[in-house]
Amino acid sequence: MSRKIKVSIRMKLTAVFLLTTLIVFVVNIYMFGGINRMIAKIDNIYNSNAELTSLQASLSRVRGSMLDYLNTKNSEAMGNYYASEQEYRERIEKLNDTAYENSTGIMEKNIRSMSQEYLDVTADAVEAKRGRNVEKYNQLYEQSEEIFEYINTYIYSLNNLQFQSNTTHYEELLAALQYSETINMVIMILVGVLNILLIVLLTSSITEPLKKLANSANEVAGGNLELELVAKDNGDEVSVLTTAFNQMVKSLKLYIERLRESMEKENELREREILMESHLTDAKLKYLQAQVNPHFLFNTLNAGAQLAMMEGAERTYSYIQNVADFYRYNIKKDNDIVTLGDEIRLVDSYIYILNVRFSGDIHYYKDIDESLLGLQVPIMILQPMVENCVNHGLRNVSWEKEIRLTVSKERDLICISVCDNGVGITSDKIREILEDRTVSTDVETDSNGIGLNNVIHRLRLFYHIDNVMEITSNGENMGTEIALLIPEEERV
Amino acid sequence: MKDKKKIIVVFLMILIVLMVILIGMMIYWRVRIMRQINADTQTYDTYSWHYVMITDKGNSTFWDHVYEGAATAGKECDAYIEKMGEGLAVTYSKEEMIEIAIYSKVDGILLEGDESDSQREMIDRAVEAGIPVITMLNDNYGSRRLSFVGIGNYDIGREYAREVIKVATKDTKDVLLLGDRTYEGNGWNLIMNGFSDTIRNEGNHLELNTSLATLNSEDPFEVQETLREIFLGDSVPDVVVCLNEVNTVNAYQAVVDYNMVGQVKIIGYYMSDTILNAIGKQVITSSIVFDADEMGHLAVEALNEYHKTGYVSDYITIEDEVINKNNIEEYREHE
Repeated sequence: MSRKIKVSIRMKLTAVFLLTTLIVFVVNIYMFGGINRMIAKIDNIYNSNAELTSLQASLSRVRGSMLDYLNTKNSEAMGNYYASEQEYRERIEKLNDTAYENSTGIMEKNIRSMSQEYLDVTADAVEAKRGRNVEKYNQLYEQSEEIFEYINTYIYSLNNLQFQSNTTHYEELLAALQYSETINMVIMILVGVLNILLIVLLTSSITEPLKKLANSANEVAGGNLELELVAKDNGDEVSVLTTAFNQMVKSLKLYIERLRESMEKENELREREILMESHLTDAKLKYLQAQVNPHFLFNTLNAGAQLAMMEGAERTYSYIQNVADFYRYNIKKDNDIVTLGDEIRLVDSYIYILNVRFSGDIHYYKDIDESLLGLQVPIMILQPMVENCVNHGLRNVSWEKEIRLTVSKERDLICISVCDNGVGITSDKIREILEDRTVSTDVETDSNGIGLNNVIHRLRLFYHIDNVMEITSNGENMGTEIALLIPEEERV
Repeated sequence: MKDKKKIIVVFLMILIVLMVILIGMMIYWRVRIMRQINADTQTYDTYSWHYVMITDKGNSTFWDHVYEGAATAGKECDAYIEKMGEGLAVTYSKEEMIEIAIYSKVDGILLEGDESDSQREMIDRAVEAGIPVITMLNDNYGSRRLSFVGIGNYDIGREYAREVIKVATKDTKDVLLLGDRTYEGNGWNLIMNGFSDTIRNEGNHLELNTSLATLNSEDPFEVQETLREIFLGDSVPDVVVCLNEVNTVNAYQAVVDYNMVGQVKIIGYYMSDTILNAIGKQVITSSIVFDADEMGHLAVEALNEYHKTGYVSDYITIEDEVINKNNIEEYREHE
């Protein structure tokens, strides 16, 4: 099977995890960046106030050092004055000096102009003090105080004004901060929901095929092999599993098919085996039949018969002639089908031989419908019936032994009946015989080897009917009747 | 299954769109805030000239209108007009403000004139420092001011006298003129001259006692006290002539408060919504109105003219108009 894992579940999981983390990370960075910028802005806001406050401090230093000098007139104070004056001048240089449409701007301009004036006046005052012009420096000092007050007021007011506007900005920024906080929260929640959805989508894309697979497996377990899974070609492990499962179902089907075929073959084999067995039996019979060398037997029997004729022993001649007939019938008839007359003649010979052997104590009667003598029947069906009577019914009886052979037509059936007056037969035995339960080893007994069972089987096969023989007995020592019921037509 | 997936995908799309909108909103908002914060230091027009306007009653409608006119004119001739004293933590007098203006080296002063000596002195100091001064509404005679814009006090006196004659009957005896500190000194004299001259010439059938009172609008308790004395005193005036906007509103309120509507006639000064309504209800009989806008405008133009040519007219008059119940609708429409 070709490996085509393009996007494995591990990769998917990793990708989704990375993606969601990345989203959260980026959003966070962006938000924090924004918040940081705002905080920096807020930090900046009050810078202008701080500047103004230090401007005011610087102005106070100028005044203080000037006063110091005016009071003490020492050179250190003068140095301080010039230093602070220089510092202040630098500071006011930074202030706006153009008229523009903004109250803080115009205030800065005024402060700058007044400060220049103030510095000029203080410089003049210091100069006057150095020149010891008392009246002038007093006057200049007073003027400088005036200007100082104005400047102070202006710086203070500007500070206030800027504080107000800064506060407004601060509030705006704060509001913006809160606003962005809310938005951040919403975005975070949205990102969270998005992430959850992504994960749900992913996991369902993993579990759904698995569920399908499980359902299919259950169906297969329930015996339905005909379902066809559609393998999802997204190339992950689940689809590999699905493909493998499909393969398994296919293989299972194939295997079952093969199993069925092999079972059929086995059955066929067994049938053949049974057939062989029956053939073997058949062969065994043929073998037994062949054991008697027919040519030798007939030559000897014929020699015996001629000898008896020459000596004038009529009965011996007849006897030997009958024995020869009996065996000829048995051996010479290659054909399996014979006429009923032939069969009856064989029975005649058999009885004759028996009567010679056992000094003629069996009384043999025949009641035969002559029209039925040409009926085609399987060979060797009557003699076994008669032999059965002789062997089982009449063997140990002390009274006169009788055998009655009747051939008659009853409606569309031909009834061939062999009746004796022997010991009878139990109904259990009858059932055993008819139901083919006797384990007979007829071959070994004192018979020509064909038992009733064989007769029944052959008749059943020949005529394709089951009910081919009836055995009746009126009780112990009341005799037995074996009747064959065969259809008039030769063969169906 | 497929439907479920579809819903999830649609939901996902909506979420993404929502997020994009939110982020867009956030960026837009932040940019706007930043721009607003940065704007204060950048986008202002700059001007070549820096004039200041100095008045006593910075908050009255009248002076607001004057300032508007001045600012409009300033824009036309590249000058920024600073309303002096606004936004300061300390309330300075007009003289102090002139001094600050001098130290601030402004390019011109628009001043609500009065007849005080201290103001005259300050005007002279400013002019000495090279700053031209224009007086508005009231003049400061004898100062070195560049020009005066307004109606002369004598003319105002005449105008009021005519209104008094219109409302006076033979029972009308006492007329009270309610002024403020800007009229102190020479101002009162001019008004009284104009007033008496007109009464003498045009209303010689009347026998009127004219008296003067000053309301110091900077102290509300004093205003209340003075009005109480006037209206609950022995001789309640029949006609009260108010010489500024604040006095008009205060007098109107007092007449209503002391239940003297109809008994005391009020002739007002300038126009505000309150005064307009009061004329409609005939509590105030009439009010003298002039174009404050025009006054500011002319003052700035005068400064500009001076800077350009070095010369400007000494006296610039503005038109005045009397509003009473007859022409009040017309005035309203015009406004």
